[in-house]
Amino acid sequence: MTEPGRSEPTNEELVAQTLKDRDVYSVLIHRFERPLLRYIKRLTNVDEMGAEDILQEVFIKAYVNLRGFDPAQKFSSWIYRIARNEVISQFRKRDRRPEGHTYELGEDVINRLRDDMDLSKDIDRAFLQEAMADALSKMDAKYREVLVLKYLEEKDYSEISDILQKPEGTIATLLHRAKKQLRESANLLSIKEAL
Amino acid sequence: MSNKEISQDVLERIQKEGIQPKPKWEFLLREWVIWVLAAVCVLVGGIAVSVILTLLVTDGLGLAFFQAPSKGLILAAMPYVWLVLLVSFLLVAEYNIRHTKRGYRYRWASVFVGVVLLSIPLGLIFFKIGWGERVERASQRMPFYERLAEQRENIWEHPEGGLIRGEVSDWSAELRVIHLQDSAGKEWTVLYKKDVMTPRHWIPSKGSFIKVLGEQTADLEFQARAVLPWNFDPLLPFGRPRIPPPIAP
Repeated sequence: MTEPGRSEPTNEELVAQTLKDRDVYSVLIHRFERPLLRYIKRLTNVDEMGAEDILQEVFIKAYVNLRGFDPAQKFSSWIYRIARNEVISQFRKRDRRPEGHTYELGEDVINRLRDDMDLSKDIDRAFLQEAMADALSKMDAKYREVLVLKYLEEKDYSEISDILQKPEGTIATLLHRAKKQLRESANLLSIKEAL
Repeated sequence: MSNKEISQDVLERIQKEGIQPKPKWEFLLREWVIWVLAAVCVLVGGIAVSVILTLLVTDGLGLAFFQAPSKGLILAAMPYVWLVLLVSFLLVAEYNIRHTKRGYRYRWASVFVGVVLLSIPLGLIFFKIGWGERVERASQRMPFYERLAEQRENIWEHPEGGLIRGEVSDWSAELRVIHLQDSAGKEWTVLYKKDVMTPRHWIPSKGSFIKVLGEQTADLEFQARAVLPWNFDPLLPFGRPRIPPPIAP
Protein backbone atom coordinates (compact mmCIF):
# COMPACT_ATOMS: atom_id res chain seq x y z
CA MET A 1 0.00 0.00 0.00
CA THR A 2 1.20 3.50 -0.75
CA GLU A 3 2.05 5.59 2.29
CA PRO A 4 -0.07 8.73 2.79
CA GLY A 5 1.50 11.70 1.05
CA ARG A 6 3.57 9.45 -1.21
CA SER A 7 2.62 9.18 -4.82
CA GLU A 8 2.43 5.89 -6.66
CA PRO A 9 5.76 4.75 -8.10
CA THR A 10 6.13 5.48 -11.78
CA ASN A 11 6.39 2.66 -14.31
CA GLU A 12 10.04 3.50 -14.82
CA GLU A 13 10.67 3.25 -11.04
CA LEU A 14 8.88 -0.10 -10.99
CA VAL A 15 11.18 -1.36 -13.75
CA ALA A 16 14.21 -0.51 -11.61
CA GLN A 17 12.61 -2.19 -8.57
CA THR A 18 11.65 -5.31 -10.57
CA LEU A 19 15.30 -5.81 -11.46
CA LYS A 20 16.02 -6.05 -7.72
CA ASP A 21 12.87 -7.89 -6.69
CA ARG A 22 11.06 -10.02 -9.27
CA ASP A 23 7.74 -9.93 -7.40
CA VAL A 24 7.40 -6.17 -8.06
CA TYR A 25 6.80 -7.14 -11.68
CA SER A 26 3.24 -8.14 -10.72
CA VAL A 27 2.47 -4.43 -10.11
CA LEU A 28 3.53 -3.59 -13.66
CA ILE A 29 1.51 -6.53 -14.98
CA HIS A 30 -1.58 -5.32 -13.11
CA ARG A 31 -1.15 -1.83 -14.54
CA PHE A 32 -0.87 -2.97 -18.12
CA GLU A 33 -2.81 -6.21 -18.50
CA ARG A 34 -6.19 -4.59 -19.23
CA PRO A 35 -5.01 -1.93 -21.71
CA LEU A 36 -2.68 -4.39 -23.46
CA LEU A 37 -5.32 -7.10 -23.71
CA ARG A 38 -7.71 -4.54 -25.21
CA TYR A 39 -4.98 -3.34 -27.61
CA ILE A 40 -4.16 -6.91 -28.72
CA LYS A 41 -7.85 -7.55 -29.39
CA ARG A 42 -8.05 -4.34 -31.39
CA LEU A 43 -5.13 -5.44 -33.54
CA THR A 44 -6.38 -8.94 -34.24
CA ASN A 45 -9.50 -11.02 -34.41
CA VAL A 46 -8.22 -13.67 -32.00
CA ASP A 47 -10.56 -14.89 -29.28
CA GLU A 48 -10.15 -14.04 -25.57
CA MET A 49 -7.96 -17.11 -24.91
CA GLY A 50 -5.72 -16.36 -27.89
CA ALA A 51 -5.33 -12.74 -26.80
CA GLU A 52 -4.41 -13.82 -23.27
CA ASP A 53 -1.78 -16.23 -24.60
CA ILE A 54 -0.26 -13.40 -26.62
CA LEU A 55 -0.41 -11.13 -23.57
CA GLN A 56 1.44 -13.68 -21.45
CA GLU A 57 4.21 -13.84 -24.06
CA VAL A 58 4.35 -10.04 -24.09
CA PHE A 59 4.96 -9.91 -20.34
CA ILE A 60 7.58 -12.66 -20.52
CA LYS A 61 9.42 -10.90 -23.37
CA ALA A 62 9.23 -7.56 -21.58
CA TYR A 63 10.72 -9.19 -18.45
CA VAL A 64 13.55 -10.82 -20.42
CA ASN A 65 14.38 -7.49 -22.10
CA LEU A 66 13.83 -5.28 -19.05
CA ARG A 67 17.46 -4.10 -18.98
CA GLY A 68 17.13 -2.99 -22.58
CA PHE A 69 14.35 -0.55 -21.68
CA ASP A 70 15.45 3.00 -22.40
CA PRO A 71 14.22 5.28 -19.57
CA ALA A 72 14.29 8.20 -22.05
CA GLN A 73 11.02 6.86 -23.45
CA LYS A 74 7.79 5.88 -21.73
CA PHE A 75 7.51 2.33 -20.39
CA SER A 76 3.97 2.18 -21.78
CA SER A 77 5.27 2.90 -25.33
CA TRP A 78 7.96 0.26 -24.89
CA ILE A 79 5.55 -2.48 -23.77
CA TYR A 80 2.96 -1.51 -26.41
CA ARG A 81 5.71 -1.93 -29.01
CA ILE A 82 6.49 -5.41 -27.65
CA ALA A 83 2.78 -6.26 -27.81
CA ARG A 84 2.52 -5.10 -31.41
CA ASN A 85 5.64 -7.03 -32.42
CA GLU A 86 4.35 -10.13 -30.66
CA VAL A 87 1.01 -9.94 -32.50
CA ILE A 88 2.86 -9.64 -35.83
CA SER A 89 5.24 -12.46 -34.92
CA GLN A 90 2.38 -14.79 -33.88
CA PHE A 91 0.60 -14.17 -37.14
CA ARG A 92 3.79 -14.54 -39.15
CA LYS A 93 4.26 -17.99 -37.62
CA ARG A 94 0.81 -18.90 -38.90
CA ASP A 95 1.60 -17.24 -42.25
CA ARG A 96 -1.35 -14.90 -41.88
CA ARG A 97 -1.86 -11.18 -41.45
CA PRO A 98 -3.49 -9.83 -38.30
CA GLU A 99 -7.05 -8.88 -39.14
CA GLY A 100 -8.84 -6.08 -37.32
CA HIS A 101 -11.57 -6.88 -34.88
CA THR A 102 -15.04 -5.47 -35.07
CA TYR A 103 -14.69 -2.21 -33.18
CA GLU A 104 -16.95 -0.92 -30.50
CA LEU A 105 -16.51 2.82 -30.52
CA GLY A 106 -17.66 4.66 -27.42
CA GLU A 107 -19.23 8.08 -27.42
CA ASP A 108 -15.97 9.76 -26.38
CA VAL A 109 -14.11 8.13 -29.30
CA ILE A 110 -16.81 9.24 -31.75
CA ASN A 111 -16.69 12.79 -30.37
CA ARG A 112 -12.91 12.95 -30.77
CA LEU A 113 -13.12 11.61 -34.31
CA ARG A 114 -15.97 13.96 -35.24
CA ASP A 115 -14.10 17.01 -33.89
CA ASP A 116 -10.80 16.06 -35.48
CA MET A 117 -12.22 15.21 -38.87
CA ASP A 118 -14.72 18.07 -39.22
CA LEU A 119 -17.56 15.66 -39.83
CA SER A 120 -21.00 17.09 -40.33
CA LYS A 121 -23.00 17.42 -37.10
CA ASP A 122 -26.05 16.34 -39.06
CA ILE A 123 -24.89 12.77 -39.32
CA ASP A 124 -26.78 10.64 -36.85
CA ARG A 125 -24.54 9.57 -33.95
CA ALA A 126 -25.62 5.94 -33.90
CA PHE A 127 -25.20 5.71 -37.62
CA LEU A 128 -21.78 7.38 -37.44
CA GLN A 129 -20.71 4.94 -34.71
CA GLU A 130 -21.61 2.01 -36.91
CA ALA A 131 -20.15 3.54 -40.07
CA MET A 132 -16.85 4.40 -38.39
CA ALA A 133 -16.48 0.97 -36.82
CA ASP A 134 -17.24 -0.64 -40.15
CA ALA A 135 -14.80 1.61 -42.05
CA LEU A 136 -12.10 1.08 -39.42
CA SER A 137 -12.32 -2.71 -39.64
CA LYS A 138 -12.06 -2.60 -43.44
CA MET A 139 -9.23 -0.10 -43.90
CA ASP A 140 -5.53 -0.83 -44.59
CA ALA A 141 -3.73 -2.21 -41.53
CA LYS A 142 -1.10 0.55 -41.60
CA TYR A 143 -3.79 3.24 -41.38
CA ARG A 144 -5.94 1.32 -38.93
CA GLU A 145 -3.14 0.89 -36.42
CA VAL A 146 -2.36 4.62 -36.22
CA LEU A 147 -6.05 5.43 -35.80
CA VAL A 148 -6.39 2.78 -33.08
CA LEU A 149 -3.38 4.20 -31.22
CA LYS A 150 -4.48 7.82 -31.61
CA TYR A 151 -8.22 7.64 -30.97
CA LEU A 152 -8.83 4.38 -29.14
CA GLU A 153 -5.62 4.11 -27.08
CA GLU A 154 -5.29 7.94 -26.85
CA LYS A 155 -1.56 8.02 -27.53
CA ASP A 156 0.21 11.17 -28.67
CA TYR A 157 2.46 11.45 -31.74
CA SER A 158 5.66 10.82 -29.81
CA GLU A 159 4.23 7.66 -28.20
CA ILE A 160 2.87 6.38 -31.52
CA SER A 161 6.30 7.04 -33.05
CA ASP A 162 7.94 4.96 -30.28
CA ILE A 163 5.40 2.14 -30.58
CA LEU A 164 5.47 1.84 -34.37
CA GLN A 165 9.18 2.79 -34.58
CA LYS A 166 8.61 5.37 -37.27
CA PRO A 167 9.54 9.07 -37.32
CA GLU A 168 6.91 11.47 -36.00
CA GLY A 169 6.65 13.07 -39.45
CA THR A 170 5.72 9.70 -40.94
CA ILE A 171 3.12 9.19 -38.19
CA ALA A 172 1.59 12.59 -39.03
CA THR A 173 1.42 11.64 -42.72
CA LEU A 174 -0.10 8.22 -41.97
CA LEU A 175 -2.64 9.75 -39.64
CA HIS A 176 -3.60 12.40 -42.18
CA ARG A 177 -4.17 9.75 -44.86
CA ALA A 178 -5.97 7.45 -42.43
CA LYS A 179 -8.37 10.22 -41.40
CA LYS A 180 -8.97 11.10 -45.04
CA GLN A 181 -9.81 7.46 -45.81
CA LEU A 182 -12.07 7.22 -42.77
CA ARG A 183 -13.82 10.53 -43.60
CA GLU A 184 -14.46 9.41 -47.16
CA SER A 185 -15.89 6.08 -46.00
CA ALA A 186 -18.12 7.79 -43.44
CA ASN A 187 -19.35 10.39 -45.94
CA LEU A 188 -20.00 7.72 -48.54
CA LEU A 189 -22.03 5.74 -46.07
CA SER A 190 -24.00 8.82 -45.01
CA ILE A 191 -24.85 9.55 -48.65
CA LYS A 192 -25.97 5.95 -49.08
CA GLU A 193 -28.13 6.26 -45.99
CA ALA A 194 -29.68 9.51 -47.21
CA LEU A 195 -30.59 7.80 -50.47
CA MET B 1 -8.61 -16.28 -17.22
CA SER B 2 -8.87 -13.44 -14.69
CA ASN B 3 -6.38 -10.60 -14.45
CA LYS B 4 -5.00 -12.03 -11.22
CA GLU B 5 -4.35 -15.31 -12.99
CA ILE B 6 -2.38 -13.61 -15.74
CA SER B 7 0.09 -12.01 -13.35
CA GLN B 8 0.29 -15.23 -11.32
CA ASP B 9 0.82 -17.30 -14.44
CA VAL B 10 3.53 -14.97 -15.71
CA LEU B 11 5.41 -14.93 -12.39
CA GLU B 12 5.05 -18.72 -12.00
CA ARG B 13 6.39 -19.27 -15.50
CA ILE B 14 9.30 -16.93 -14.83
CA GLN B 15 10.13 -18.89 -11.67
CA LYS B 16 9.49 -22.37 -13.11
CA GLU B 17 11.49 -21.81 -16.29
CA GLY B 18 14.21 -19.85 -14.49
CA ILE B 19 13.68 -16.89 -16.82
CA GLN B 20 16.10 -14.03 -16.11
CA PRO B 21 16.36 -10.55 -17.60
CA LYS B 22 19.15 -10.45 -20.19
CA PRO B 23 22.27 -8.71 -18.88
CA LYS B 24 22.74 -5.03 -19.72
CA TRP B 25 25.96 -5.71 -21.64
CA GLU B 26 24.05 -7.69 -24.30
CA PHE B 27 22.02 -4.59 -25.18
CA LEU B 28 25.08 -2.35 -25.05
CA LEU B 29 27.05 -4.78 -27.24
CA ARG B 30 24.25 -4.95 -29.81
CA GLU B 31 24.05 -1.15 -29.95
CA TRP B 32 27.85 -0.87 -30.15
CA VAL B 33 28.10 -3.45 -32.96
CA ILE B 34 25.43 -1.61 -35.00
CA TRP B 35 27.27 1.71 -34.61
CA VAL B 36 30.66 0.17 -35.47
CA LEU B 37 29.20 -1.48 -38.59
CA ALA B 38 27.65 1.84 -39.61
CA ALA B 39 30.99 3.60 -39.07
CA VAL B 40 32.82 0.94 -41.13
CA CYS B 41 30.29 1.39 -43.94
CA VAL B 42 30.78 5.17 -43.92
CA LEU B 43 34.56 4.59 -43.96
CA VAL B 44 34.28 2.24 -46.96
CA GLY B 45 31.99 4.83 -48.56
CA GLY B 46 34.77 7.39 -48.04
CA ILE B 47 37.27 5.07 -49.72
CA ALA B 48 34.87 4.61 -52.65
CA VAL B 49 34.59 8.41 -52.94
CA SER B 50 38.41 8.69 -52.99
CA VAL B 51 38.72 6.07 -55.76
CA ILE B 52 35.99 7.81 -57.78
CA LEU B 53 37.88 11.10 -57.39
CA THR B 54 41.13 9.40 -58.40
CA LEU B 55 39.56 8.10 -61.59
CA LEU B 56 37.73 11.33 -62.38
CA VAL B 57 40.44 13.81 -61.44
CA THR B 58 43.88 12.23 -61.55
CA ASP B 59 43.09 9.74 -64.32
CA GLY B 60 41.44 12.49 -66.33
CA LEU B 61 38.05 10.84 -66.83
CA GLY B 62 36.24 13.94 -65.59
CA LEU B 63 38.21 16.25 -67.85
CA ALA B 64 37.82 13.82 -70.74
CA PHE B 65 34.07 13.83 -70.24
CA PHE B 66 33.87 17.61 -70.55
CA GLN B 67 36.50 18.04 -73.27
CA ALA B 68 36.27 15.05 -75.60
CA PRO B 69 33.93 15.50 -78.57
CA SER B 70 32.46 12.01 -78.13
CA LYS B 71 30.92 11.36 -74.70
CA GLY B 72 29.79 7.77 -75.30
CA LEU B 73 33.25 6.24 -74.83
CA ILE B 74 33.86 8.07 -71.59
CA LEU B 75 30.41 7.41 -70.22
CA ALA B 76 31.03 3.68 -70.67
CA ALA B 77 34.29 3.98 -68.73
CA MET B 78 32.86 5.82 -65.70
CA PRO B 79 33.56 4.17 -62.31
CA TYR B 80 30.14 2.56 -61.93
CA VAL B 81 31.48 -0.27 -59.76
CA TRP B 82 32.63 2.25 -57.18
CA LEU B 83 29.43 4.24 -57.46
CA VAL B 84 27.39 1.09 -56.80
CA LEU B 85 29.69 0.17 -53.90
CA LEU B 86 29.40 3.69 -52.50
CA VAL B 87 25.60 3.73 -52.61
CA SER B 88 25.38 0.16 -51.23
CA PHE B 89 27.63 0.84 -48.26
CA LEU B 90 25.89 4.10 -47.49
CA LEU B 91 22.52 2.35 -47.59
CA VAL B 92 23.83 -0.31 -45.19
CA ALA B 93 25.16 2.46 -42.91
CA GLU B 94 21.78 4.18 -43.09
CA TYR B 95 19.99 0.88 -42.31
CA ASN B 96 22.25 0.30 -39.30
CA ILE B 97 21.81 3.78 -37.91
CA ARG B 98 18.03 3.51 -38.20
CA HIS B 99 18.22 0.25 -36.22
CA THR B 100 20.01 1.80 -33.27
CA LYS B 101 17.97 2.43 -30.16
CA ARG B 102 16.66 5.82 -31.28
CA GLY B 103 17.45 5.67 -34.99
CA TYR B 104 13.83 5.08 -36.02
CA ARG B 105 12.97 8.65 -35.01
CA TYR B 106 14.75 10.03 -38.08
CA ARG B 107 13.50 9.89 -41.64
CA TRP B 108 15.55 7.62 -43.87
CA ALA B 109 16.31 10.48 -46.26
CA SER B 110 17.83 12.62 -43.47
CA VAL B 111 19.96 9.72 -42.25
CA PHE B 112 21.07 8.96 -45.82
CA VAL B 113 21.99 12.59 -46.48
CA GLY B 114 23.88 12.53 -43.15
CA VAL B 115 26.01 9.50 -44.12
CA VAL B 116 26.65 11.00 -47.58
CA LEU B 117 27.81 14.24 -45.95
CA LEU B 118 30.15 12.23 -43.71
CA SER B 119 31.62 10.11 -46.48
CA ILE B 120 32.39 12.98 -48.86
CA PRO B 121 34.89 14.85 -46.63
CA LEU B 122 36.37 11.48 -45.62
CA GLY B 123 36.74 10.65 -49.31
CA LEU B 124 38.46 13.98 -49.96
CA ILE B 125 40.96 13.29 -47.19
CA PHE B 126 41.63 9.74 -48.44
CA PHE B 127 42.02 11.08 -51.97
CA LYS B 128 44.45 13.75 -50.83
CA ILE B 129 46.63 11.24 -48.97
CA GLY B 130 46.63 8.87 -51.93
CA TRP B 131 44.45 6.05 -50.62
CA GLY B 132 42.14 6.22 -53.63
CA GLU B 133 45.07 5.51 -55.97
CA ARG B 134 46.36 2.67 -53.76
CA VAL B 135 42.97 1.01 -53.42
CA GLU B 136 42.36 1.34 -57.16
CA ARG B 137 45.71 -0.30 -57.96
CA ALA B 138 45.15 -3.04 -55.36
CA SER B 139 41.71 -3.74 -56.85
CA GLN B 140 43.34 -4.42 -60.21
CA ARG B 141 44.63 -7.70 -58.76
CA MET B 142 41.10 -9.01 -59.11
CA PRO B 143 40.57 -10.40 -62.64
CA PHE B 144 37.11 -8.87 -62.97
CA TYR B 145 38.33 -5.43 -61.96
CA GLU B 146 41.51 -5.73 -64.02
CA ARG B 147 39.35 -6.15 -67.15
CA LEU B 148 37.37 -3.04 -66.24
CA ALA B 149 40.58 -1.07 -65.65
CA GLU B 150 41.91 -2.20 -69.04
CA GLN B 151 38.70 -1.08 -70.73
CA ARG B 152 39.01 2.27 -68.97
CA GLU B 153 42.61 2.70 -70.09
CA ASN B 154 41.80 1.67 -73.64
CA ILE B 155 39.49 4.62 -74.13
CA TRP B 156 42.70 6.63 -74.60
CA GLU B 157 43.38 4.78 -77.85
CA HIS B 158 40.56 6.37 -79.80
CA PRO B 159 41.93 9.31 -81.78
CA GLU B 160 38.62 9.57 -83.65
CA GLY B 161 36.97 10.13 -80.25
CA GLY B 162 39.53 12.80 -79.34
CA LEU B 163 41.65 10.64 -77.01
CA ILE B 164 45.21 9.36 -77.52
CA ARG B 165 48.00 8.14 -75.27
CA GLY B 166 51.63 7.15 -75.72
CA GLU B 167 55.27 7.78 -74.92
CA VAL B 168 56.82 11.20 -75.54
CA SER B 169 59.57 10.59 -78.11
CA ASP B 170 60.41 14.26 -78.62
CA TRP B 171 58.93 17.70 -78.09
CA SER B 172 59.55 21.32 -78.72
CA ALA B 173 58.23 24.13 -76.57
CA GLU B 174 59.19 26.67 -79.20
CA LEU B 175 57.12 24.99 -81.90
CA ARG B 176 54.54 23.81 -79.40
CA VAL B 177 54.65 20.27 -80.65
CA ILE B 178 54.96 16.87 -78.95
CA HIS B 179 55.95 13.73 -80.81
CA LEU B 180 54.16 10.77 -79.37
CA GLN B 181 54.52 7.08 -80.03
CA ASP B 182 51.31 5.09 -79.38
CA SER B 183 51.08 1.43 -78.32
CA ALA B 184 50.95 0.35 -82.00
CA GLY B 185 54.28 2.12 -82.61
CA LYS B 186 52.73 4.91 -84.70
CA GLU B 187 54.36 8.31 -84.35
CA TRP B 188 51.86 11.12 -83.70
CA THR B 189 52.47 14.83 -84.01
CA VAL B 190 50.59 16.56 -81.25
CA LEU B 191 50.22 20.32 -81.61
CA TYR B 192 49.17 22.49 -78.71
CA LYS B 193 48.35 26.13 -78.15
CA LYS B 194 49.30 28.54 -75.41
CA ASP B 195 46.10 27.83 -73.47
CA VAL B 196 46.51 24.02 -73.39
CA MET B 197 45.41 22.52 -70.08
CA THR B 198 47.88 20.56 -67.96
CA PRO B 199 48.04 19.81 -64.24
CA ARG B 200 49.81 22.32 -62.08
CA HIS B 201 53.60 22.04 -61.69
CA TRP B 202 53.92 19.28 -64.27
CA ILE B 203 56.23 19.19 -67.25
CA PRO B 204 56.28 16.14 -69.54
CA SER B 205 59.71 14.71 -70.08
CA LYS B 206 61.08 12.71 -72.96
CA GLY B 207 60.25 9.05 -72.43
CA SER B 208 57.26 9.75 -70.16
CA PHE B 209 53.78 8.42 -70.86
CA ILE B 210 51.01 10.91 -71.41
CA LYS B 211 47.35 11.17 -72.35
CA VAL B 212 46.11 13.78 -74.76
CA LEU B 213 42.62 15.18 -75.22
CA GLY B 214 41.73 17.04 -78.37
CA GLU B 215 40.92 16.19 -81.95
CA GLN B 216 42.51 14.45 -84.85
CA THR B 217 43.23 17.03 -87.56
CA ALA B 218 45.00 14.82 -90.11
CA ASP B 219 46.48 11.36 -90.39
CA LEU B 220 48.76 10.95 -87.33
CA GLU B 221 48.24 14.60 -86.41
CA PHE B 222 46.41 15.75 -83.32
CA GLN B 223 45.45 19.14 -81.92
CA ALA B 224 45.63 18.99 -78.10
CA ARG B 225 43.21 20.73 -75.73
CA ALA B 226 44.66 19.04 -72.65
CA VAL B 227 47.84 17.10 -71.94
CA LEU B 228 47.90 14.86 -68.87
CA PRO B 229 50.51 12.59 -67.31
CA TRP B 230 49.63 8.88 -67.60
CA ASN B 231 50.21 8.21 -63.90
CA PHE B 232 49.34 11.29 -61.97
CA ASP B 233 50.99 11.43 -58.57
CA PRO B 234 48.08 11.77 -56.15
CA LEU B 235 50.36 13.42 -53.60
CA LEU B 236 50.77 16.40 -55.91
CA PRO B 237 48.42 19.31 -55.29
CA PHE B 238 45.15 18.68 -57.07
CA GLY B 239 42.50 20.99 -58.31
CA ARG B 240 41.06 22.28 -61.50
CA PRO B 241 43.71 22.31 -64.17
CA ARG B 242 44.56 25.92 -64.69
CA ILE B 243 45.84 27.49 -67.88
CA PRO B 244 49.57 27.04 -67.53
CA PRO B 245 52.36 28.68 -69.35
CA PRO B 246 53.16 26.73 -72.50
CA ILE B 247 54.98 23.49 -71.73
CA ALA B 248 58.50 24.60 -70.99
CA PRO B 249 61.56 23.14 -72.76
